[in-house]
Amino acid sequence: MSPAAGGWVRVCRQGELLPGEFKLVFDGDTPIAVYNIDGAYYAIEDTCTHDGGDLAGGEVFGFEVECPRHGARFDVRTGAVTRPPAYEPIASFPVREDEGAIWTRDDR
Amino acid sequence: MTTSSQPTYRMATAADIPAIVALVESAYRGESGRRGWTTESDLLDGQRTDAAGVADALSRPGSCILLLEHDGQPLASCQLERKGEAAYFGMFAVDPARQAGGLGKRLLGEAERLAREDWGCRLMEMTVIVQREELIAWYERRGYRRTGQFAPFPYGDERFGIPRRGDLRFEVLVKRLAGEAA
Repeated sequence: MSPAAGGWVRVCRQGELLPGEFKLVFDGDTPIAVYNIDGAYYAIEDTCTHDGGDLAGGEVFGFEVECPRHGARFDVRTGAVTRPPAYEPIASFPVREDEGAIWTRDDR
Repeated sequence: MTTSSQPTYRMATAADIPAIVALVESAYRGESGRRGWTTESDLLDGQRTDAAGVADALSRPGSCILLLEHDGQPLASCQLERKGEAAYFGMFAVDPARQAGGLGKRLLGEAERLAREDWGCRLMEMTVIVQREELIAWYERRGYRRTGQFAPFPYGDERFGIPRRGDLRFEVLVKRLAGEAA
């Protein structure tokens, strides 16, 4: 079954997203930020649980993305909070490489 | 009707091509560009676009040029192109003599509204030359985020200008439009 038929959302071509870059897509109403960190892809919900605002675009430290507004940090591999002022984790989503493209989906 | 006192938005047509080329060139290039608060005049010589480039932006499927004009004079313009869930915003120009007065903010806001409400887009995307730090900061104040995605400057294609330095490149900026609809 092709990823699209399985409910996966196409992010971009394979090779288009380079290390250190992210891309935003939507699965339904869920904003998903897909990161390439050192060649591996990670997908998280693009909403800081501290204030509900956008998250991606903040500086990345290793596997942690820092919210650009108040400095909360989340682990892009798991969605876990690693630094306040956020205390609730964000969702993390699967990433798949297939048909020459990168795919993700909100699997909740 | 007498002249309107408020600037109005309008979709450009082929008849507007010469005025748009003049507006874009005045903002992006040369001494006129330096009269505004942001320009490419120190980064590039040559042209930013020409009649063929503007005609292409007007005729390509899903692409249009939005004008902000007053008394029949275009004060600001931008290209807007629908690309699935995202809309692309580009070739943004504000008359250098009218910059820093909020016109650009209004036109960008109208472009976002159009993309969101009329096209159903959830994202606005653009590419900005990374050396234009003050411009990127302006976009960041309007909710745009740097993605770390870069694209090469078209060196050797004089339709887009003659670079004055060898390290020009674009960064992709993105803003979520979803959820802002009333």
